[in-house]
Amino acid sequence: MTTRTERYAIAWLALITALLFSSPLRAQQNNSGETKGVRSGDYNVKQTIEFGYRDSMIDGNINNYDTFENLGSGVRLFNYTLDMQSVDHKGVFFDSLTFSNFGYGGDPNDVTRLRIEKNKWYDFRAMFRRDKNFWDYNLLANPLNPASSVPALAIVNSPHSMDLVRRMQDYNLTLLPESRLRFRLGYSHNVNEGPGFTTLDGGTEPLLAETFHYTTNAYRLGADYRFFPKTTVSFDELLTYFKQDNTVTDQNFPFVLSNGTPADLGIVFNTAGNTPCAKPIANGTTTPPTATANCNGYLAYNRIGRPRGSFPTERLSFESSYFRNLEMSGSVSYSSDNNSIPDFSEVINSWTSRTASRGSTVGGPSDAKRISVNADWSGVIA
Amino acid sequence: MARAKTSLIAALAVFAFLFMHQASSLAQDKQTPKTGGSVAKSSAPQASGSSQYAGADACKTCHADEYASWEKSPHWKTTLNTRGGPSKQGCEACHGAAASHVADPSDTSKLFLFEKASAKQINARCLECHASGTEHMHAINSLHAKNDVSCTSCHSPHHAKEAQFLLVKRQPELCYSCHLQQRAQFAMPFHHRVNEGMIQCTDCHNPHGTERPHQLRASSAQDAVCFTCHADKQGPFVFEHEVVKVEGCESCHTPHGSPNPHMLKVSNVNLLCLQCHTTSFANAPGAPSFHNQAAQFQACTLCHTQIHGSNFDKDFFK
Repeated sequence: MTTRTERYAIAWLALITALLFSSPLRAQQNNSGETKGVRSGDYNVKQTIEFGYRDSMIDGNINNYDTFENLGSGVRLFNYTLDMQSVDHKGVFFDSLTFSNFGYGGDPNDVTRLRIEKNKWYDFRAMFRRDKNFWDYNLLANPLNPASSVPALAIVNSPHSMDLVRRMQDYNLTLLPESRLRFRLGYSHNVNEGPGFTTLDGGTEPLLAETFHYTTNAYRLGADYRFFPKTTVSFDELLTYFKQDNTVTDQNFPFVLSNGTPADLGIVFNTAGNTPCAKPIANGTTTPPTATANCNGYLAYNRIGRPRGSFPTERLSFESSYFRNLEMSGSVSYSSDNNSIPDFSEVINSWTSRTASRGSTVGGPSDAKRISVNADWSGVIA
Repeated sequence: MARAKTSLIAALAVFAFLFMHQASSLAQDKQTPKTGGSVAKSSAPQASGSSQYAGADACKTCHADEYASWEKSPHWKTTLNTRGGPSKQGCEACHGAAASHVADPSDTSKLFLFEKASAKQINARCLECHASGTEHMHAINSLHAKNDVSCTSCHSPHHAKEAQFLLVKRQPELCYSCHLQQRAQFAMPFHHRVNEGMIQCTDCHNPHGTERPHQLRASSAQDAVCFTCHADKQGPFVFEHEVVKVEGCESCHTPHGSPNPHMLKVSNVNLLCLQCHTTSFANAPGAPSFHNQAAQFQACTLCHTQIHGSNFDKDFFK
């Protein structure tokens, strides 16, 4: 992974260096300290770049450090900006372009922002963000196993640790931004994915491996129309689609049954409280240790559920200061949210003493709906 | 899904028609000869019955620095507004008719002087052009406006440090100038990555006002803005944790920052859950006696992992 991200960083640096030297840029400043930039064709161009190498030497609990900071070593693009302004406001494709980046090369947060506009015709904004979210903080989800338990098992890592990456893309285009009737188009793509752990209640608490994968696609269409002077009505059609493709499996089998079958007695050990049972280890001399046969535990667990959500929303809004002493704004929206899980499947091979359950297989569809209607109006009388 | 497709197709058809209509009228505007010269020179004095107006070139004679900064800014686009006449163009679009000031520099009676205007007057001035659209539609009624924060408190048409939106400072420093408490919150161990530049204050808040408390934006489905990124918590779930919808994310989390993991309001999860889940609280079931929180199971979410809502289990176990 490190090699890949470093390769990305080097590619970025090469690209930016090429851009930097593509025109004879030499920073010049006027009396007010503002960078003047250089003339390139019809544009005034300003660029800044800050890159280098970060060396991190971390001692102690690395997982804790990564939970809070997660700043590693390597080549980094700390900042790059490009600003192009048409000198006579008559650029062929655009009059203004601003482009900024930071964090590339392995930092937990990478952001790119781009804005291009052409007077009267369009205003386009794009943003890409990548957010690494490493989490191993065992204060939460810690069962606080007592030291008197036999065996006594201290929880040193979070049972809900995760290493997720969220990538968010947002694109917004406004057409005819100066006109009486203007149009807005937008698209957002949000993916959050990565490995992690979770737990499950069922006699004991097995530590389950979960692969997270959430995807959201959002489409936006809107129009603003100035009906009268100082009165604008806006309509938005907002379509959001969400999908979840997580899988959950038990991959943690530190014990075996007497017949050699791998077993998971969970992470909660309080033998005085019969969790997972009064005497969970039948034979501690074997490798791995042999679990007691009638103890709460899991031999296999598998769960797949693929929720699919859709959120179509219509929104009508207005603002008006047409009347001399009365300013108003308001909106009404209707959203019918639907969440469908077509193929839930859960297969458990376990022993749960409190329900005398040997296992279960659950499957089938389910769905949920919600309708939201919002309306508001506000007025200010001067 | 079918409704979404129908809505999308209908909206696309309407938008396509309107766009073609508007674009063709815009193109026609461009081809129509203008009495006041070319678009680029429209800052020259206009002849359309506007003897009160001097034109931007006249202003430039004395206010060269201001003219230079304005010429590079988006406000230059006002010179393209040939329909509005000289009162909507150039320097005078904001500062008012300047002919008398040009004739007698000491006469500022017809000028709009921002440094002498009240916040309300400044806001009204800017909103003459900027009120339309969803971003500014609540500006008059915004918390900022109510507290005498004017447009020029954050935006500087002539001396902006940030080219985008002509801001006087970059976010979040601009917001921190007044919101000192939020600065401290974002410095806490667990926080949204605003100081890191990952997200901005304006991702969640609209400084120009919304219909919601704290000038919060909304998700596409008009729910809490949190669901824009945290879509997996949005639902609707087969088994809802009602507090998420009824009281919102802030009933358990402090969104700016917290000393507690997951930006929770309290450090021990059970103390948070027990605020509602007690026998004396009628609307939420009390915690069962076998939970033995004195010694163990203080972390409710060890078992109730899907606490924001579940599609598979009524007790939010999975």
